Amino acid sequence: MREKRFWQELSAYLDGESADGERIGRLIQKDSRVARRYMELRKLSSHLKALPETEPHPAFVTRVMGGVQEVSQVARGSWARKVFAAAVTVCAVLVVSTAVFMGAWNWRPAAHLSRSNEEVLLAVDTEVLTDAIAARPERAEGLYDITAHSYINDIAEYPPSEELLDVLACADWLDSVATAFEAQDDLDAIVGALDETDAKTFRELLMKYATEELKT
Amino acid sequence: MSDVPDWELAARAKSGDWDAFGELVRRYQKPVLNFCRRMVGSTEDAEDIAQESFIRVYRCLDRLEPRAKFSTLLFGIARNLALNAIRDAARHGHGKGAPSAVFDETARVAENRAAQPDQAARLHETESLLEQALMRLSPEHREILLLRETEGLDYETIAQVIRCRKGTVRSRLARAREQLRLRFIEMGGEL
Repeated sequence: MREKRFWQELSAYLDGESADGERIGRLIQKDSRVARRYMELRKLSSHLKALPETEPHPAFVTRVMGGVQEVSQVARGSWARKVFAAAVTVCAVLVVSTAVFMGAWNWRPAAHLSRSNEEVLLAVDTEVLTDAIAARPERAEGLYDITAHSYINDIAEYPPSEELLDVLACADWLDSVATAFEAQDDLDAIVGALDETDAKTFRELLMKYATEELKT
Repeated sequence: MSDVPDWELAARAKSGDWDAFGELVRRYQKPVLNFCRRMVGSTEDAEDIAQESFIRVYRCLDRLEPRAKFSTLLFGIARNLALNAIRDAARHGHGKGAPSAVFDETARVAENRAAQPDQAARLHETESLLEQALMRLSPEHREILLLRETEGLDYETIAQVIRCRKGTVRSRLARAREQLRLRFIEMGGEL
């Protein structure tokens, strides 16, 4: 082990990288075995340094630059493809966003209604709402009259509405409903999942919301 | 442009200056080509690897930061490509890196430069034996010897090129020298 380390040190000494240069130098002077090995390493090193070098082909630079240009064109093509893809994505997002926004604004009830929701919704006393809508008919066309609109049309699907979510969030037990609603789940399914007590509370909240909305 | 630092040329190349990259290629074509040739044992394969090395450098110009020497990066890429080529050849049992590779260029240059026939023959023999002994080393030993002896890189730079610690360079280089010495003598070389 010690000898192995010594030859490592001798090799490093040859390269001027030994941390123990003075000691190695003294050993080379004193020990013939070390001196012989050192001379062999030096010769080997000078032979390696003297190995003939190959001259590059005269067209080497041209060939490399040709390859580089090719890569550059491919990269530009790829960049252009990326820009095109990004543009398409942005357009798609814009179209979808617009559709969602417009859909929410001009939303009209879907025709279907599950039986359970129908029961929930129709059980709400619509008298107050009907009077309110009669007093402010323009509200029925607005985004925030969705609840009232739903009553009138016997529908159970609602577009997302922050106001409605606020109302729903008033009740702790509706947190999960609100979250699910935020996730744009079908309110039909949510309402359908409520038990009798929750459904009653939901009706009351819905009524309150609709009334408040129509008053404003 | 010949006195412009490497990284300055690289920055110009990044912003689309073809001439700047051309200057980098001219500057390093010979050392990279020779390193690759001695690694794989064939001039033709070495040219392909050297060319690919420059192209790869160009490809990653955007991501390069001038923390180390430009040559360190270039040799690092050339070294990886050469080792891949050697592994591929070993897997397929032919071509690059085979000990029987013919050193045509070595012979041609040695013959051309020698003034006296006897000296030329001796020189040629030594060079040929040394090249063959080199090819019989493991690629890891061969590369470290070439980086140190023919490219003249210091231990720190070699460590960066082959991605290891400086202490590993020190021990591996000593082992590589010992292996080369034994093989060279075994093959009839005189030291």
